[in-house]
Amino acid sequence: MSELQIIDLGVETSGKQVLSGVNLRVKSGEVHVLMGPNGAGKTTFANALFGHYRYKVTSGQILIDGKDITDLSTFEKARAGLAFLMQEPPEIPGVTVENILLTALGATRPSGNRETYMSEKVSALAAKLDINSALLERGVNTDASGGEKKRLEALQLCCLPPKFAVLDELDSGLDVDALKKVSTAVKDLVDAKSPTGKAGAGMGVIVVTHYNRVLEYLPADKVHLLIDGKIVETGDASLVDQVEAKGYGPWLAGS
Amino acid sequence: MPTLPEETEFTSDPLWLQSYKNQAAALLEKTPVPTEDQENWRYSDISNFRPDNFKPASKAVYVADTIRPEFLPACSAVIKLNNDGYAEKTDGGGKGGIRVINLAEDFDAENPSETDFADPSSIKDLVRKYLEPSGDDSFFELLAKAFVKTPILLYIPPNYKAELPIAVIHSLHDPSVSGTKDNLVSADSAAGETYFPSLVIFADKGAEVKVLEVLLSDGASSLVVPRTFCWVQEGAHLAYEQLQVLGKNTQHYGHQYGFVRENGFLDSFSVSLGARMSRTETSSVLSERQASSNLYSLYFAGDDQIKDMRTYQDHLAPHTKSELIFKGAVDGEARSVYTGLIHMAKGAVRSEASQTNRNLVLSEKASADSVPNLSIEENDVKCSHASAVGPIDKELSFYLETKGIDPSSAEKLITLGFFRDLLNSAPVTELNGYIYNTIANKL
Ligand SMILES: Nc1ncnc2c1ncn2[C@@H]1O[C@H](COP(=O)(O)OP(=O)(O)OP(=O)(O)O)[C@@H](O)[C@H]1O
Ligand SMILES: [Mg+2]
Repeated sequence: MSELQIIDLGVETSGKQVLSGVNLRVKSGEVHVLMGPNGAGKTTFANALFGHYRYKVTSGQILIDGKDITDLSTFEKARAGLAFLMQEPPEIPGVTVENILLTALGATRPSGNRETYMSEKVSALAAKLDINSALLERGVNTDASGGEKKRLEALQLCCLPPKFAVLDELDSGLDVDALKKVSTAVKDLVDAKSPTGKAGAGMGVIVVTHYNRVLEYLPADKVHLLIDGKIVETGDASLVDQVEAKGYGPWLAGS
Repeated sequence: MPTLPEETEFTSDPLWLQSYKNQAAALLEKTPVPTEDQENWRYSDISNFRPDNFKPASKAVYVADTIRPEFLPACSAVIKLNNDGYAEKTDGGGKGGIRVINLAEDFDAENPSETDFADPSSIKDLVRKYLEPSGDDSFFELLAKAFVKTPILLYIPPNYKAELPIAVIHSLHDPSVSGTKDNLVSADSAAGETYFPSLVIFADKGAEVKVLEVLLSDGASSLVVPRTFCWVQEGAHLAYEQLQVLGKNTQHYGHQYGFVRENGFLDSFSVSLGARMSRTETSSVLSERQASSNLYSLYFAGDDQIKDMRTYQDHLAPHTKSELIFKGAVDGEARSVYTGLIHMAKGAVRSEASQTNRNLVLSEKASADSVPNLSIEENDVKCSHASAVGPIDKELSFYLETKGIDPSSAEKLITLGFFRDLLNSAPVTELNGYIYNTIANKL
């Protein structure tokens, strides 16, 4: 059982304070939903969590199992157990998904027959997530559609499951069938048992979304509303239905 | 005036070759050593170049065993040359009848043998074009023509087809250096040796072959001036790959000439990784209808290496087509410059040419320049050029780092990825693993 703790996080970009006083506590196997209007600061939150060079943490702390990782560099945060599925992942010519996974795996698992292990795993997941093999031979995300990119990101997530993942608009671009496949695959990671068979050892996730659809397959334990850089309300899954019914109006007025 | 020491052995050359060499030597006396004040040398580090710092190649031992290119793929024939000429020649059991001829020994320039060549007059043309000096020759071309030692003609007979490449390996070793292969001691003050690897490939009508040429040396402060001529006859398809992995103190001034006749196709791919100062002039002359060429190149310079790449796509006939892609990366304090010219002659109607040069600049102290040019004398043609110079996109590194990849591995991945698409279209993809490793070790 692990815990990701975000305490009083404040973030600035281009001289503008985008987030302030954000608190969040996610345990292994939990699904947290982060909702909010366009421009509220959801992507900023994710980028800042990973130490993106354009975002500056002006206050607060990020902890994994009590260990302060706020000032670690991006790759060290990833190695500490954080994964990021970007809203708009970039395209990298000539660098295949397998190149990435092998390099990332090399960092944690130096020996053994990594190539075979990885290529078998990738093929199995590609079949599960319905990913065209041509996409795996090209540079990651190059000339891929929006939905294909999300599938490729989900594949990488499943290959090297982290302790915690931030899924920024996992659902955007995915068609109805793909959404089901991808979110079910994520759900499997969330429900994963520990090697000794204990429940509650799975991946903890923060899902950024605008719609309740993804939650059909990935039921939320907690829902947070982020308005204008602040978490204004935290509740259970019913909060999503309120937003769907009324929009953000009631909270905007109050903030 | 360049004062290369007397080369007594040249008297063994046939008269026609002696005459070319003498003419070249005479022209050389009137040709000043290039300086950086000259427009087409202004990016090169030529200011310290002193021809008299070099001496002719010694009769060094055959060294292919100590610097054997163990990365060589399976080949249909292998021709190995060292300082002194032939070292080894295997023609794959003589199948198909390709011929390897030392022009300085077994060739009659006046009357090329009817039994050897399907089209002796084209061979005659080719040898003259290749070895006869002209007033337009550059200093280094004249130098190579004056001192050429073992000019090799690789003759591919009509309709000859082979899947496996023919390999020509120049394995150069300077006996003045000592130390181990990876840690050579070579005093910069000591006179380096000079080598003039010379290869003419003649792909006769309808032939389809791959030729791999490797330039390999052991790090000495030598001067290497190679000249390779790819002549493609009607309907022939010549895939040519050159791998330049010369030792790190070498000065390299290379020339790759292409000449393509009707319906012929030259698919040229050049990888330039070695030498301290390396300048490569690549040209392709599309002389008849429907002739086409691809000129692709990959270069990487680290430490204080310099790459000076010059290209010329010359369209002389209607419906000719050329595509050029040069990709480079510079690291450390390295510099690179790409200068390319497309020429469309009057009458080259419906011809198409494209020219792309992209450069990755991997460190603050490294720099790259890109200078594309067009010279168009015909209206009914299509030309395009694109060039780019820039650092690695930070968003890409960030993305890879979020996967747990450290910044230096991320840089390696992105740089190798930058070259990967191009390398996948190389004629001899079996070498790619070696090329990736060599670049990765420099990063
Ligand atoms: N690098 C940046 N430079 C300047 N302004 C930025 C930068 N990144 C984000 N912003 C601004 O910060 C605010 C929050 O942006 P962010 O991308 O975090 O919103 P979001 O909640 O993810 O929105 P959406 O739902 O549209 O994805 C916006 O006003 C945006 O314009
Ligand atoms: Mg966003």
